[in-house]
Amino acid sequence: MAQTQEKFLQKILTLDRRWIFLMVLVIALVFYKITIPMPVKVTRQTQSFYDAIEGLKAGEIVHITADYTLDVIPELYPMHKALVRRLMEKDVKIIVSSLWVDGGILADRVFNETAAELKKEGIIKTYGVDYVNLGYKSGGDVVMTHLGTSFAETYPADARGTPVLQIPLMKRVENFKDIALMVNFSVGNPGIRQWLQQVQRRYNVKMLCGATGIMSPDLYSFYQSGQIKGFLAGLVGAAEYEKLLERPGKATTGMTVQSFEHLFVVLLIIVANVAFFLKKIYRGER
Amino acid sequence: MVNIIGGWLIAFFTLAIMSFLYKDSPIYKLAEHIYVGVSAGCLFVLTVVQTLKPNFWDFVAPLFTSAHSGQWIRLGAGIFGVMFLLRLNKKTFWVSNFPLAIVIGAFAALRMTGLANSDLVGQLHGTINCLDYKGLLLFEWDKPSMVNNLLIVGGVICVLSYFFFSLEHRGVLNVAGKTGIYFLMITFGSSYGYTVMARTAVLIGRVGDLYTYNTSHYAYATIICAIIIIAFIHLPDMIKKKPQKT
Repeated sequence: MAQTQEKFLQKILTLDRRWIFLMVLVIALVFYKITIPMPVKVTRQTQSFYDAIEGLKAGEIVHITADYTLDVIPELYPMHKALVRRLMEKDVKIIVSSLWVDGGILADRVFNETAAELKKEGIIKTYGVDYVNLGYKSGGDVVMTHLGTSFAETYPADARGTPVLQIPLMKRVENFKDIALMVNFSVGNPGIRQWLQQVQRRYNVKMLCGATGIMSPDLYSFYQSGQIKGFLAGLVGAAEYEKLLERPGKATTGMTVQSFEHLFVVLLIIVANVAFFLKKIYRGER
Repeated sequence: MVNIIGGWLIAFFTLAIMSFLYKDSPIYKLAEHIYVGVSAGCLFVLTVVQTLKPNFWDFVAPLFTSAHSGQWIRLGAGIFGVMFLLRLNKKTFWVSNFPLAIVIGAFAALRMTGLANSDLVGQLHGTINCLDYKGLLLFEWDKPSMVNNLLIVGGVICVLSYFFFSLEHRGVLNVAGKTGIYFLMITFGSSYGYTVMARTAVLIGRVGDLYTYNTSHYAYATIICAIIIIAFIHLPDMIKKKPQKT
């Protein structure tokens, strides 16, 4: 009897991982369609992020750094878009730059989609006056520190090739002293850690962040020490922000899949651990 | 039409890359190689158009025309760039060491000051501030409180004790170091939880796209691509398994 049970436990512990992948996919496919509203509790860091944005006045300039790639669109794109829309509604001016190749392209997509949405609501936003995309620049830390000296020297032209000194919004910006707030959407290095090291402390810039889930645990200590004024932690952070804005979007709908996937992972951990210890016990008996 | 082709490509490449979870196959290899090639091409073009042209060429080109004045100093950056490229030749390999030394030196200095400023002084400042209990309640779940702040300070000391190797871990240092391990474990657990969340978020994005392109507008791209990929992966096995005539 004990031998049969041990064999069964061994089967669980050596289960072909492809079954787990299949289950994860099935859960995602099912719960993407069957949306069960999940309670979203707003955390302190998201509230701080929201408060910092709401504290901005019309006409002030925000520098967004879209340092992320296409593969993390599901996590960072919803928060990026929600933020740009909110800033445009508040008539805050936006400058976007990127240290990752895809970032500039994604920033353009966010601007185009948001401007088109607002146009339908009768709010007209003009490129060069209300928002500018400086595009991608290679160089990482060097670009960051040089922005502290001069935006125009670092980015002589925007993503469309227009000289920045011909852009009305850029005429108002010399360096970080003209920036009211900086928001970094970060996926890795160069990202939020480098912006904190090279810019936040050096130029005393008020900084917020939207980061992928993997990066988020690192950010709590920087939030606690006050170097980041608030941050959105992955998809759940984006959902919390959407809740505060009372505008549920893709992040909120993704919470059902997220919750059931997490339940599945927790179940797997419990089953695997129980099987592991039971197997040990059976072996001990023999 | 362009949108439809785009939809088919997205569905095909998503499923082709995902097929690796089942089995490595030529179809996965094809998708992987195309992805790497496209990424490299995109990086090259954007670096030339958005960095090399505006920050170098537009300043240097006027030096060779009488119409405008350029910036000679930027030519220096170009020379360093060319020196880097000499690394490709065995005979001129040594030349690239000079710009490399400058880059390493400059980056090390930049990173060192930044790290000291943010990760060391900034975090030290934040930890010391935890000892300022003015206006704090004894305990709150998700806000700074005396107990929470004490945990932060205690946690920092314990984890630092664990990594303190100048003394043998005995007595108080041993207890502090062992407590530090628990703090580290909690941190790793939290990181793992966030990692699961991040990976799931990526999957949600892919699933959303697969549903989007599985409509009649896109001629059911997802389901057709899935059938093609499954057939392609299994076809070689099926052919091999055919009984041989004697």
